[in-house]
Amino acid sequence: MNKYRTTAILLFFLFYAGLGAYGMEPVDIHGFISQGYIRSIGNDVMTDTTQGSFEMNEMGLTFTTQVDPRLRLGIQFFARDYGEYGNDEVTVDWAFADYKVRPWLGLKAGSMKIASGFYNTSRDIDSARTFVILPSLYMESFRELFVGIKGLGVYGYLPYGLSYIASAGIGGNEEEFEDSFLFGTLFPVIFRGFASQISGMPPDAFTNIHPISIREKCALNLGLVWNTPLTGLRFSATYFGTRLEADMAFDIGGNTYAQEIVLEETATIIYSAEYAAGDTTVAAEYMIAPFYVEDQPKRKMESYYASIAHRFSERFELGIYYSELYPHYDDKDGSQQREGLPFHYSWFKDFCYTLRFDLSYNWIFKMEGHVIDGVALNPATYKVRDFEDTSRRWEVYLAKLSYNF
Amino acid sequence: MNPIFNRKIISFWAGILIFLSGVPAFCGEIHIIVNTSVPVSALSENEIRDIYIGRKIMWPGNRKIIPVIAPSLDLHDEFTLKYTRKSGSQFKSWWLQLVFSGEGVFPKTAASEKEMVEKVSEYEGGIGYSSVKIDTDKVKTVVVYDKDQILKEFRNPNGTENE
Repeated sequence: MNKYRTTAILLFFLFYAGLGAYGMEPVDIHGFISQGYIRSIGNDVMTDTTQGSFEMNEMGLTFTTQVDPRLRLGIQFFARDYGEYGNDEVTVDWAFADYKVRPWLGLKAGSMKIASGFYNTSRDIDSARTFVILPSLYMESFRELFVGIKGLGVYGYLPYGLSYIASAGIGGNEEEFEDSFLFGTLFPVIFRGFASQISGMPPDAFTNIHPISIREKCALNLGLVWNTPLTGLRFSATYFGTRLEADMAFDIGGNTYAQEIVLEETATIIYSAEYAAGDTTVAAEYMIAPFYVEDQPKRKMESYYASIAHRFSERFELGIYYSELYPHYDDKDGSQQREGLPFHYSWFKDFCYTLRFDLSYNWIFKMEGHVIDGVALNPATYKVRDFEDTSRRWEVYLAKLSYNF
Repeated sequence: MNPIFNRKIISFWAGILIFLSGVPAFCGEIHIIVNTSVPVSALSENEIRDIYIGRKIMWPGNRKIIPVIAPSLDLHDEFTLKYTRKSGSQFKSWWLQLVFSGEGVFPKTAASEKEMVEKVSEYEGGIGYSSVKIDTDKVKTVVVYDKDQILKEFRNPNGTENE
């Protein structure tokens, strides 16, 4: 458990113990827990999902209290298991002080969720949405990068239904980065492509590529939401940018080398629209994510989706979405062979359908299916011995039970 | 006979449809009640919406707004639909997003209308809803107005379109 986490937990319990003495409001406690089962046909999503896997769960416990009408303190402990990621290790998901100066100005300090699209802040909360797996725009593979930001933030509500948020600090936990899909698996593949382009050597001349250390230098998060006069219709634009430095080790011809890679900017810009009226919610979001390595041309990832969810009764809801994701905005068919991967590593097109049953006010059961074309940014398909062994067209089926209070 | 038109099959699917298409049963008037410490006697529909989606959190005079809901009542679904344009489940999902991302504190919950009145009485800054008009020494019913409608009538008192 890192120093930051220990400090946060200690501060919280000291604070909690002192509440009664000062006659403050009691702590509001909420929580959620979910357990999923995932089975895929054609490719693994995570390790061995073609055999069926229960390694898919989340749990969280939230404590908040209103110290005075303007000051609110809160903390959320969170653990999850997603294949080989998470392994149910308890982390502090967010912990901050929120001081409301005016309706148009609130101040936050601590570890905050990142506003990226409509649903990033609630991406781990299965009960708060229709779908089990969010559209590819919310890149589960890059979760560590989007979890939170430690620093200072301002937010507020403006006239004409506008609201804003701006925060700056440093991003996610660097310890988690090293074991993540992004740095542990995907980054070596991208590095191989860059190294091949620079040196003129074939991509497979570079072997045993792995990160030695990763440093996140700074992060900036901006968001603007417009709740239109038509109740239920809202638009938003969000920006999240950060600068990363990584020392990568690799072998060429039996010799080991190290190279510092500087991601000058990794930005994620998302434009969102949602209309929720009565029992129906329609949403569409578009993401463009430029990133560039020092001295290299700028590259972009692109993703978009449209979804509709309709509640037929108090207990039953049906949702569908179609999403597309391209790791290379300007090479959507993979013809440029930048990383030397098969063509179907250049896109991820996903048709998803979900049935959600609200068994009671607190219990929710979901069944979901995905029909997928392409494997771009899917963790397990970057770990196979031979990339050609993966299937272009494949399917994923899930069932998940959640409880919240 | 084509099995699609088999009477048993039709009955089965009709049953499923009835099960799936339940609708809120409450059709009466909804009254907005507040704790008597709240320094307002009228609220616009937009203000009620902003309170119940967590956007407005303070009464005039620096008093915290404490919304109360009764999710188990049909009245609740009717209330959320009328004032927030969200169904009961959408309303809950909205709040779960706010609570678990640290952006809000879940409204206080009551199991019945009686408990709703008790909780609004108990919390200074409390606001809730009721199917009947209530005025006691602890709770008062506020007037609800449509700001847009009033502005429209103010600009056009004769009910005729301005050129």
